[in-house]
Amino acid sequence: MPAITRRTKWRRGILAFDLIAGISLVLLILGGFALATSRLVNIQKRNVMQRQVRDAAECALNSIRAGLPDPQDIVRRSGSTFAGEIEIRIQREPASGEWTGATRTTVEAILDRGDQSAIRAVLSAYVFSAGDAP
Amino acid sequence: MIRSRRRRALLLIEFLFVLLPSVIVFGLMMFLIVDFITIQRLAGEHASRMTVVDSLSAKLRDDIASSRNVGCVVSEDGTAVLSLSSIDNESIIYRFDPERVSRSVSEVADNIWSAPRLGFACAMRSGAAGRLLQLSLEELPPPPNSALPPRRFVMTFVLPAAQAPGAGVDR
Repeated sequence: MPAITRRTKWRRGILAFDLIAGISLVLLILGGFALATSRLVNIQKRNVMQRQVRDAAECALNSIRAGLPDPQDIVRRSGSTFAGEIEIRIQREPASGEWTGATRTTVEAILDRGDQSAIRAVLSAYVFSAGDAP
Repeated sequence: MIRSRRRRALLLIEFLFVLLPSVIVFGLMMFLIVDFITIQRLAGEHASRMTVVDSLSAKLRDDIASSRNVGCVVSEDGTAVLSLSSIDNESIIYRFDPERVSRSVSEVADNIWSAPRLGFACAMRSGAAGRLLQLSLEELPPPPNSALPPRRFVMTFVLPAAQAPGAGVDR
């Protein structure tokens, strides 16, 4: 009788272990797939954002070159998907050497959504007061 | 006999406990795999569209930079005609239609840029030192996911200030 009880306990143990191992393995595979899909979606989204940030920096710099007054507003009204969330920082300093008379203009476009590291694009150009040659 | 029945019962329970969740989980996994493949396909299509856009951008920048005169008329519906005179006195005309952009040199079409589900629209702003041509690109989602919002990109080009009245139309 004690021998049968021990065997039954052993079988139950094996069954419980089998159940836990089987379900865990399947859940692990599912979790892995979900994580991979989520990362892939994030990478694609980030690629789109990076392009939009670069386009926004270019738009702001071109607005300055064309002599338009408010580059941030032009970027915001451009209609691109993340335009409303992109911050534009402009730095102007007088150029020296061969570029004397021009202004070295640096535009930094930043998209910070908080959920991941901010995306930045920095573009610089020498802009003459009468406008840069296109 | 009793042990055999118990074994069968245990086996049945195991099947129920393991097979049922497995079927559910593998079903979910199938959806994930389909999503995975769809994302890859859409990424490929997006990359293909962006190649078309980059090619247009490079050619247009090159033509603007090497032109002597630039005239541009933007209509209310977003279509535009950009006329450039090259240094070799060639007349280059870009036509921006909602579904394509075409380039012709001396009235002979030599390039057409278009891609499925990619729309073009133009706008122009005049500044103190020149004009800003904005080319908006709208990437529509594929038909089964038409509820998704379209992606919008904007490319900008600086043109010299309008020399004659009516050469540039602000929108």
